Amino acid sequence: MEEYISPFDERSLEAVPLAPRLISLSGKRIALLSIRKPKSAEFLAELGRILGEEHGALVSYDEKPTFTRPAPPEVLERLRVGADAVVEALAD
Amino acid sequence: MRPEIEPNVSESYMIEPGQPAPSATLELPEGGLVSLATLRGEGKILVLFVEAECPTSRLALRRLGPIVAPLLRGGVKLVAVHQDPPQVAAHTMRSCEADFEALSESEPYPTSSAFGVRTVPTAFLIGSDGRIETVLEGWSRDAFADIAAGAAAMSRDDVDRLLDPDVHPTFKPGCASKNTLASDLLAATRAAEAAFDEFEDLFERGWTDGLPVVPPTRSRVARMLGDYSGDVSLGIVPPGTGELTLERLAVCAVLAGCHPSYFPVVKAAAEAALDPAFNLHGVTNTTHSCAPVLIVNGPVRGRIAMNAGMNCLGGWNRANATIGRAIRLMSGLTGRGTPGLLDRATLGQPGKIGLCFAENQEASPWESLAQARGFESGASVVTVYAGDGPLTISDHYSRDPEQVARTIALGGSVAFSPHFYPLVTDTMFVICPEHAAMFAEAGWSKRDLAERIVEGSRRRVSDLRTGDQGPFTASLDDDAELTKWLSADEIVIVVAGGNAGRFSVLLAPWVGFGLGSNMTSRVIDEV
Repeated sequence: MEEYISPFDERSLEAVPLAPRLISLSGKRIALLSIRKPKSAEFLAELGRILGEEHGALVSYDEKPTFTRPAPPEVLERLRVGADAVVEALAD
Repeated sequence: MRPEIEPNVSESYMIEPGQPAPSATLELPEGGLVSLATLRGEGKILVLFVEAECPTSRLALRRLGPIVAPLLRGGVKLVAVHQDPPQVAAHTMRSCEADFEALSESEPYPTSSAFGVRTVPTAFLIGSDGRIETVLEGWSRDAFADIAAGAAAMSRDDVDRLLDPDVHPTFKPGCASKNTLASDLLAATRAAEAAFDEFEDLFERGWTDGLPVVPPTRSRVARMLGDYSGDVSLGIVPPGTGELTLERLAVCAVLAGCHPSYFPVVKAAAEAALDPAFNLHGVTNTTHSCAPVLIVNGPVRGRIAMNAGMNCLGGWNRANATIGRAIRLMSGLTGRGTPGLLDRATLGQPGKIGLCFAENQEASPWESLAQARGFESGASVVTVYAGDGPLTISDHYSRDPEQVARTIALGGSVAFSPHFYPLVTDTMFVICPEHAAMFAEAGWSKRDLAERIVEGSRRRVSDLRTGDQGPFTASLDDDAELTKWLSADEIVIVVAGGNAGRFSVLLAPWVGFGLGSNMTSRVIDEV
């Protein structure tokens, strides 16, 4: 039997470890990322209110230019530097 | 290629602790050779000889899984040496959920003989000095636990958590090693090989879109590449960011069933699909049903016997069916855009297996799609468009071209969502030869038809206030009017199909307003 060649790039499967989980939301910087689908701003505004008022989180809002493409590096860098955790709102 | 071996001990005796490990070169499951010394590097290696038909071998492969990671952390690699062909070895590993290196050797099993293996499984722990530290025949839970505890510097409790002492059997003798069998007995052990089904194996590997694929053997991939160098990279395939070497693209073309003469078309289509303007990331990820649609122009259509006529959107022509499929396998496999995982399509559509066709330039009264996009008339060109499944628009009874154009416009105005006006994106119509001839007889250019399609889509805003709406309707009066497209520039016309039948087709686009995908084209290499 002849050997096969794989269509996959095995390097694309290299695991990235998860960031440490937050123990509490109090005083933590939580970024709410809109991907700019309709209604995501309304949804994130309410979520931000709950996180801030009921859990003491320091909430900030950010957005991708469009839901149809990956977030550009500058958005990812803003989130990396400016947030302890990110909530991304995906759907309509 | 035959594995090379330099036995440094008699074949009659099993190597014992303290002796140097024989040097050996073995086959990797995905092709190529590797030496045990290379695999070991500067550390230690635990070499486990196994065979597919041996229950004890399978037991050992399955039970050792949990200690692979701790062994690795302790500087010990675990590698299985299968007395089976690479594909059977890969299958055995998968079925035993064993996620570590698997090598193969074939008859007459020189590595097994060099180590003096008498039964399988037999494990040899080779130290960082290249000498054997431990030899273990058969399955012994306690003995493997000792190796794990010593080599990985683990506590006995930790080992017990990973290798549960209460899971039986804790001891099981092995089976006859294939290198010890006479040839007539060996022939009788070939059941695993005989039962091996390469097509089922490829389904198990997941190298498929759900249909059977052609096994991508090294020789088939080499024939697909022809004079192209497999090392050349076309870039990264989103969304799973696999690098697309021409070799991997050739693998996708082989899997899809392409003839090697199609490969220049596949390559040009891959280049067009990886153009950032096409946005393959979004096309693959979206919940929408769109998929890359490939339209081929120029002399290559005849050279590879593509279908531009009857049923050209419906497969049953090898070039049409397999070129489109190769591009989908590229994004689904190399790009890891697997439906249900990174491909989030709510429904999808049959074009997600592949949709590729040739323009019927011979039946067209107009310049081709490629010419309209600025390419020379003699060039072979492939254009990639993010399109939905075909919607057939019938008009057999209108005798006035204005009426036919209106029919096509109304059919096209359902694109994306009937109330979403304007769309603001290129929209493709495949015009059948009979419709095209009617328009040509009236003296219409492509542009004339495009303008009538835009005009024929005109609707009052009061009719557009439900469901998915365009962004302008809310601020407009009920009596205001909108067209589905802002201008005729957005109407893309391709002529294709059989000479009989007055059916044209809408290939609706993905999202508009510059958010989705732009058509991209590439010249196909003349080879």
